[in-house]
Amino acid sequence: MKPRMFSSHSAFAALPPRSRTRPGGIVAATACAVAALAAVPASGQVAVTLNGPPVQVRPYVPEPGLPDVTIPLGTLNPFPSDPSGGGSPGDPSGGGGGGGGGSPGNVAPSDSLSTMLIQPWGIAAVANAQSLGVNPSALAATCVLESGCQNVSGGTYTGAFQMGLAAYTDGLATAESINSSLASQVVPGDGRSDPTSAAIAAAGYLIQGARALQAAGIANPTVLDVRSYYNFTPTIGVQVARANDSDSMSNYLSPAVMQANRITPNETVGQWRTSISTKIGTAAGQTVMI
Amino acid sequence: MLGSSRIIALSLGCTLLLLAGQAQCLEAVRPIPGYVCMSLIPEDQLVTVQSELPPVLAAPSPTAALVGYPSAIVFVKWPLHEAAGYVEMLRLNGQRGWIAASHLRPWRPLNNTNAKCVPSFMSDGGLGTSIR
Repeated sequence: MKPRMFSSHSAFAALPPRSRTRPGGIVAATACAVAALAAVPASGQVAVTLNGPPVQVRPYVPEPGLPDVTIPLGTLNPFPSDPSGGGSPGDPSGGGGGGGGGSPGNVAPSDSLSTMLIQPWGIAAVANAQSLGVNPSALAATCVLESGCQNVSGGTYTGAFQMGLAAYTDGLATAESINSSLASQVVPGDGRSDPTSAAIAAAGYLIQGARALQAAGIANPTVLDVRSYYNFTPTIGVQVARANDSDSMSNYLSPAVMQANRITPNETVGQWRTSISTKIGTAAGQTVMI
Repeated sequence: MLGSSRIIALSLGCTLLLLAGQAQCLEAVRPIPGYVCMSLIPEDQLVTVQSELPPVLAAPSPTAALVGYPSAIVFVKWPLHEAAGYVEMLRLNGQRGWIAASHLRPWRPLNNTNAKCVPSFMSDGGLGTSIR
């Protein structure tokens, strides 16, 4: 069962839960309500000319025990600009972070985060990731790389986060061990095709990846560090994260895995890292955990 | 030990990569003496859940404390130090441990080349691999 995203006394209580999670749906509902009021003649009322911009609804995600995530309409990214972040929002070059990436606790804006936030489930995914201590940009970068944040179905790996069933189950267990209240948002059984459930599981899997890399000597793993863990299984992922830049990826991955991930035969580890950074922009150098 | 010209060349390569927009740069700077590469068996490398991997233990005994889990390439002490079916190894964080010998096999290049795997100290001060 999904939690209610808006309070029952709001004007949107009658909308189905899914619609209530979508800022676009709220705008439409507001417009309808205003139009209906305007169509009814009312005695004693005086028409007032609107002075200034129209009042905008400010959607929010109430989560027990957590601060509200407030997102003014017209703003794709709710997080303030981080002066220490590498590159500016919208910069596809990947910024210029060094090997250590961003500082711990850094929740910076990113292109990937904006992509995830425009999904109907994006706001809930951000709030849930934060409740787990996961950088929402890390989660967003994962869905951008896996599916473009689209709920792709079918095959061994499915959903917006393209998880296998074992990884989904284990990621979910990790997430719920940290925040048991998230269980109320997870659909029963195989929830990989439910983006909210899959986002929770993916956040849990990212936590596992970050922990594995910490155990491999990387104090504050970046999104780029953890990418290989998520992409290539734990043992291979850790190895790639600690591989020499000029080594060939074909020394770490089987030909089948290379082909499935569209990695060219002569691609080096450094070139692969650059290609990932290019795809996810500023998120690459940010830390996974906040 | 690498010569200073080699280290300067590596640093220059990393600088160029960073200037090109790469968010990370990691180079091997010198071998770790006394260790060689072995591989986990293929079944272990396909596992997607870390807790299903063979454990790295604090001593060569199934009842010893869990130290962690291995990566695909295992740095084993050389000459091989084997006891009670376990092999002494070095984790990527520098910690020593023991892993069941039955989960290891000799390292071979995946791409059918003559590449060699070298356990290495890396440019960020940590441990890693160089395969050339």
